[in-house]
Amino acid sequence: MSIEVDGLTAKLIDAMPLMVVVTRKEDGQILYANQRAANLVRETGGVPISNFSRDYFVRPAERDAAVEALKLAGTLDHYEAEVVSADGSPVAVCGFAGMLEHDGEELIVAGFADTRRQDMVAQYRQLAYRLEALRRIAAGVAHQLSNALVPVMTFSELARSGRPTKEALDDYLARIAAGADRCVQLINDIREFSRVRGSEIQRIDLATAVDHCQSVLANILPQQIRLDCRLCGEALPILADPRLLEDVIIGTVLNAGDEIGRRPGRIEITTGRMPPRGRPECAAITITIASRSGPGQEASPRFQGAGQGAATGHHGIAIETSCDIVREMMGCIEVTHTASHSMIELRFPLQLSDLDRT
Amino acid sequence: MARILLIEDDAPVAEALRHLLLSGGHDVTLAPNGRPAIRLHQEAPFDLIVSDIIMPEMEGIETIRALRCIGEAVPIIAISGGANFGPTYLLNLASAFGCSATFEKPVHREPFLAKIEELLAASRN
Repeated sequence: MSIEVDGLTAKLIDAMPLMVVVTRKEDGQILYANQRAANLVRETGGVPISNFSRDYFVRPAERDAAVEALKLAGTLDHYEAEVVSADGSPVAVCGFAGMLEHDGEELIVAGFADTRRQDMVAQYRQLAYRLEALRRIAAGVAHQLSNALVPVMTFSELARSGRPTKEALDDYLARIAAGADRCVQLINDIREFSRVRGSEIQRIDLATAVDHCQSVLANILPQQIRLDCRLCGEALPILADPRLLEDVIIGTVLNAGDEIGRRPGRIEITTGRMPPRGRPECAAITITIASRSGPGQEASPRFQGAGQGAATGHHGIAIETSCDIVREMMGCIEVTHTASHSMIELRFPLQLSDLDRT
Repeated sequence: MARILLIEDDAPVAEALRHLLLSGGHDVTLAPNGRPAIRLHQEAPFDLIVSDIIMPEMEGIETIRALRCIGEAVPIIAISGGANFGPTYLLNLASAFGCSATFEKPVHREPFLAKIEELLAASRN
């Protein structure tokens, strides 16, 4: 069985920047594929592919989940998956799907785009932002330095020109020295700005640290991502550098937001005590990420947290860096995935004093 | 000797440029930004204006535009740290809005004074 598309419709579909396939729900048999889709799925390593079955997915369970979601909702928006391309490499695709009946058979109509190109554009855009930020810093430094040098140069030229009196010369020298001091101050400021500060580990309350981050995150996360914070009422004393801990929390949540992308999504931050499980009792921050893949459907954005400069174009610091920082504070980070969400857990040993215990 | 209005918000820079202009035999009046500068110029017109670009309240480009909009033909020299903020080179922008000459800071005394003399001579003719 195949679906015949008349000439004009085929031209219209081929003109779309999307790959379009119609498959049989039951086994993934391709009944129609436009040219773009055909180029992607026609063959793998020389073996012709005639279906879009679960084997064709890098994670076969993704097709099962999509089909289940389609059964419930009828349509699927912002659906993301990885499929095997013609050359055998995985291709991230994103699109929509719908169900229809044709000749008594249940069919899936899907339109999707290769997101590698979008990722590349996002990377270039991020690089451009960074270069622009660097240019602005350089411009600011040039402005400050040129102002600082004006008295140095002007009064040294005045000192050399004509025959200044001793009083005038002393005045010029004092002004040159002040200008030089200003240059030194500027250099010290730049040096301080560039210096990587060592960690200052102290006893802090984990919930308070998360609370500080909450207002920052509310302002920087995209509007379509809902941020819910559920902080436990009790104090959770841990040993940590408050500034670095905030960097880790904000960076992780930013990366989580980047994973969700332009889709609607939800990030939930909770704090609480963790049962000992053979280890010292811990305080934990749990960051749960879920994105909506359709009406009432939530799908895991598969948090990778690759971090700044990595191929995914994330804004926050990389998960590996966060792990190093947290390890310095005697904590650990664990990332887990379920069918409906990703979960990142930051655990720190609780530092309970005798007073806390009573 | 000419009456010169120097618009500069940075006090040590203003003081250095004031000395430089005094050494050229000019009478110098200081204004911290464009707003009081325009008022001073309207009260008693100056022979030449030297204006910084990046200033609080009313910056240099806006000042040059405002002066040219009210029909002032006074020679204006724009001075700046010389950097780009955004895609535009600020001194080019100042030229586009009608300033007579531009200098990057720090300025050298001789060419700066020479340019002032040249502009004053041209405006007298």
